[in-house]
Amino acid sequence: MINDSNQIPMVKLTNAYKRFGDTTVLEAINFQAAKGEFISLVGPSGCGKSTMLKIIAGLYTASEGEVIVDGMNPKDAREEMAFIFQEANLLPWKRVLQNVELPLKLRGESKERRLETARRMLELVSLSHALDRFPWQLSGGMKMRVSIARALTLAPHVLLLDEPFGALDEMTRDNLNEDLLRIHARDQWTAFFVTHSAAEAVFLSNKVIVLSANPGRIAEEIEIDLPEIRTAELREDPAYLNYVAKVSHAIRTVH
Amino acid sequence: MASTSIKFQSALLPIVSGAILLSIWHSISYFYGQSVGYDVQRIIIPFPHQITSALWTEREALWASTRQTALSAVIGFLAAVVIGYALSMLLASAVWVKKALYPWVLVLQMTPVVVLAPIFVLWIGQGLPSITAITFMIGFFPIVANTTMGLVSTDRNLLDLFKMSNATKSQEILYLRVPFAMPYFLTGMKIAGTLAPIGAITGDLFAGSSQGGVGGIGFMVILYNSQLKIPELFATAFVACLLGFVFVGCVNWLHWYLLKDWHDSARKTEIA
Repeated sequence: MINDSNQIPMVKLTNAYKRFGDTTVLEAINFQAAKGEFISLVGPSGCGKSTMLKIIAGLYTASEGEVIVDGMNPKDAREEMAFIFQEANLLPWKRVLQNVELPLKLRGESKERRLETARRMLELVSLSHALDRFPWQLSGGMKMRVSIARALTLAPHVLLLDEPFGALDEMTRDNLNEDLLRIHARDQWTAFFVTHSAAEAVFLSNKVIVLSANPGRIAEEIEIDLPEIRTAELREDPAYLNYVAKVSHAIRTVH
Repeated sequence: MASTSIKFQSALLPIVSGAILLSIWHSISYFYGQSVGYDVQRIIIPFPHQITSALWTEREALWASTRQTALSAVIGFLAAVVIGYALSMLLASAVWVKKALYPWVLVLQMTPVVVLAPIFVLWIGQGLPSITAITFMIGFFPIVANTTMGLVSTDRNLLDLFKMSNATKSQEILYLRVPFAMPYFLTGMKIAGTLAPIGAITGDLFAGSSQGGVGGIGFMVILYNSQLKIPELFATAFVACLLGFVFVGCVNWLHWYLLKDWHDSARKTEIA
């Protein structure tokens, strides 16, 4: 994975704080990610993982400190970012194809371009057979694929994923993890991936950030030095299992 | 097999129970007539067949008044839908607008419309204008309450999605808030649809007149009552009931049609 210190950081947080009223949710976050990095955020619940993601997205504003995405204020950099939510977050009244073309529609692209791109993205997530279905006709895993396809339509430079696979069964989750890496290898966006699962974090990332709770601060950064091309077999690899143990331990012992 | 017998049951049982109720009615009329004489019986509790024959002899007057009431109901209902929706949009546009106006919408709702009816007549005159105004007043609140609720309770994550896509305010309203509020709006419309014929008849009772045309169902109620035409009164009740069914049926169909593809309420239930 690309982790070149000479490169201009894609995302940079400098001494970032987030407070809601009297509660400090994030404290003194210093962090940067280069283009193409895949970074997972783990930690006990309530540690501010999602808040950190939303600050990068510009959905929340940092109370203090600086957040830069591709050299810009997050709100100005939205065109370069896509957010994948905890639930698939699809419009229930729109069919799969219309859901995927939505971001392009909102941006005012021509109908032809929209549909062409949406079809291509759905092919990428192996859903070409389900274009005309409504969200309620899809399984949880399929909904998540639609959500991924929708996020990719804008060719983002930064992909923010807020526990996207938390509600799925393990097999579906593993498959989606592999798909995500396949697409990442192709497109090289910078990813921030919030998860509760140490295994998932290790499998996907080149770096895992462990946050402590109350207030959330970066407790540990664990580099995952595993091959760039990762397949299902990696899950049986001792080196991988070692990392999972290390991350699990870090989550359990943060304070 | 099981499902056919269930269908058969649901078709047959109401007919059987209806027949039983009718024969009970008939017996009561009969014994009442025996004790007080059939002249009195006819104006207190007419035989079912006296009602049906009144329905037939008065068919033209009843049909004309039903059309008149249906017209008032439709106009008042549509006004409630359009103005109710517009007001909901306004109420949902900002928190302070809702805070400023919603209490007054409630005040209007809590004031019984029948109390206002004479004032309407004073202001806008007898007949159609007042009747539709009364219908409107009755149907308006359920639409405002439900639609506003739908517009303001739009899923936060979906709103974030639109924000992330740099959607404009009008895109957010058109592509997100309005469709999201659709089931709420249609629920309000169903309630208003149930109330609209009742509103039109109530309005007719207060503001109905046969001047310059025909009176509605409410007007016929007053007319028949004053003439002691009680079987005709029952026939009028029957017609009003039918009108209600037709009205509610149409609105329920619309509800089902617009939501059948995606919303649970329409997918899992049939037309009521």
